[in-house]
Amino acid sequence: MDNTKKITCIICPRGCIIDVKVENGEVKSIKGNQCRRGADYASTEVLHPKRVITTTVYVPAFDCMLPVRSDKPVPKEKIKDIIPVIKGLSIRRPVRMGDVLIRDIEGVNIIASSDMGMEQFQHTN
Amino acid sequence: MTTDVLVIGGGPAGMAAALSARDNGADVVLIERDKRLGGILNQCIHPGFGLAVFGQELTGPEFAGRYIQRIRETDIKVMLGTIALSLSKDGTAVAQSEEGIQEIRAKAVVLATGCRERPRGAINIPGTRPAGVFSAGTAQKLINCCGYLPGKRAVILGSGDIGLIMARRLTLEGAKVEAVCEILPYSSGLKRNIVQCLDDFGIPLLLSHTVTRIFGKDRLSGVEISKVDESRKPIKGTERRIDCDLLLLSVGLKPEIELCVDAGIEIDPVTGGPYVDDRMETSAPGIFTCGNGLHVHDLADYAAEEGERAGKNAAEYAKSITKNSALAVKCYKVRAGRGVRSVVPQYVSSGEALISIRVSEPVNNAELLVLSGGDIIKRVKKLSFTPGEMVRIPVKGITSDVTVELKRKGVAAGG
Repeated sequence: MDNTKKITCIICPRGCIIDVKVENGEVKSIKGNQCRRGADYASTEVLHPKRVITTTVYVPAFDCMLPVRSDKPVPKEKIKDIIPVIKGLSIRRPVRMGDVLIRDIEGVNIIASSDMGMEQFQHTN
Repeated sequence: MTTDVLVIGGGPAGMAAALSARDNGADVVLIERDKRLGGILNQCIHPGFGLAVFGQELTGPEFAGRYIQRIRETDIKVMLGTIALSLSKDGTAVAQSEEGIQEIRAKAVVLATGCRERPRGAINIPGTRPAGVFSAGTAQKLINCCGYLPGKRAVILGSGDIGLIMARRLTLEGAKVEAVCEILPYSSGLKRNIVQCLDDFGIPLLLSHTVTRIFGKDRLSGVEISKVDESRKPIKGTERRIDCDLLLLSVGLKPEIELCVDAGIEIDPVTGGPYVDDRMETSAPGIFTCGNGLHVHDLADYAAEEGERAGKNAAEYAKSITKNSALAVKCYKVRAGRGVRSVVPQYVSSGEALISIRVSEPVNNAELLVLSGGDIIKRVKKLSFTPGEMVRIPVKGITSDVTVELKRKGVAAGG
């Protein structure tokens, strides 16, 4: 396997276009970067691109949307498989920020990004 | 009701202001019109918050959650579902909630009212007026907070960060984003968002393009897009129609200044927010401001840091430690020089200040110079400056009026 991929660097606003040549699953050459961090980013992005997933889940019991996230970045190509599983969640209890909602899916946990069903403050007027 | 410090607005800047005013010994009332604290953070479910303040990457609700937890541990009086209807120069606000209307008298006020999106009317797109044209932030709230997908085929006008983030959000929720159009020859959004919100999903970014017509009777049926020339005028013959039922506008933000105008506070026409000094005090002594209500920020972290300063200074004002507004005495002026679009603060009362600037256009390999009394008192060198990024410059040794200007270097200038 031999191919060259073009990566737009996201490390700084300059946005270098970096050519990364890959052979047999290994980085052979990196061109177009202007700093070391760009080279590191480009090789990770070519070999193992990962993203944190964030979305929301409707919770009928509280009639509100709960924001959720993966606790670690997941391989980019798995996002489309994980989203439907999250959407299928059925939550019936109050939730604290950080509570694990799905354990170990593609090596990550899906956690709540916010409290839900708990009063933030009493209305004090 | 009376208090030392009244904070209006419970987003990142307002929450940070309330906490720091309390930490500095003031009794604090925090009013928020929504039914929960957090402001716009609640609808920003994506990661990218907190690196500057907490040293880790959080989502908007998590960033808000940290501040909410800290506020819970104090005796700050939080009034939710409460909106400020008016504000007078002496620090008296009229607020309304379900309980009715009441007056809140404060020794000092911190305004943290956030910003508003520019609507269709601000950019004059010709055509019909069907349903299906939304500002990007409204669509974000509909999807993330209300669970309502406002359309199935979308075109997004404007490639600032909100537009980019909504392109990804719509895609993950099952809508098809046909294109993101940007009237400028560059995107003002972060590179990271272009890669992770557009490239990841194969969504085209059409630079130097704008929407020139809106079609549809009751519901949007499509838009006409055109290429634009260097002066941003549509080029005849480049029109093309894209069928869609949703048009999102991400075409700029403006500080919310209704209460400032009410109190007769002087407004900077460039930032759209009040003139302030380095203590975040407006032209009305005792009324402070921070966050997007002062000038539009790139990061919530910096809005919160600004709130922290405003809250501390409001507490000191309430305790009568400081009673001189730099604007009232007009100490040193801070001006935007060549290549710089805006500066905040516009006045400084002491020898040092944290000056936030935005450049006018993208420039590579350049240097920001801070000049005071004929001397260069600070240089900031960077590989790249873009208008989308707020540059914050800590400056010491101010002895007279200050000018911040951009100096291009080498041949690579001109982004």
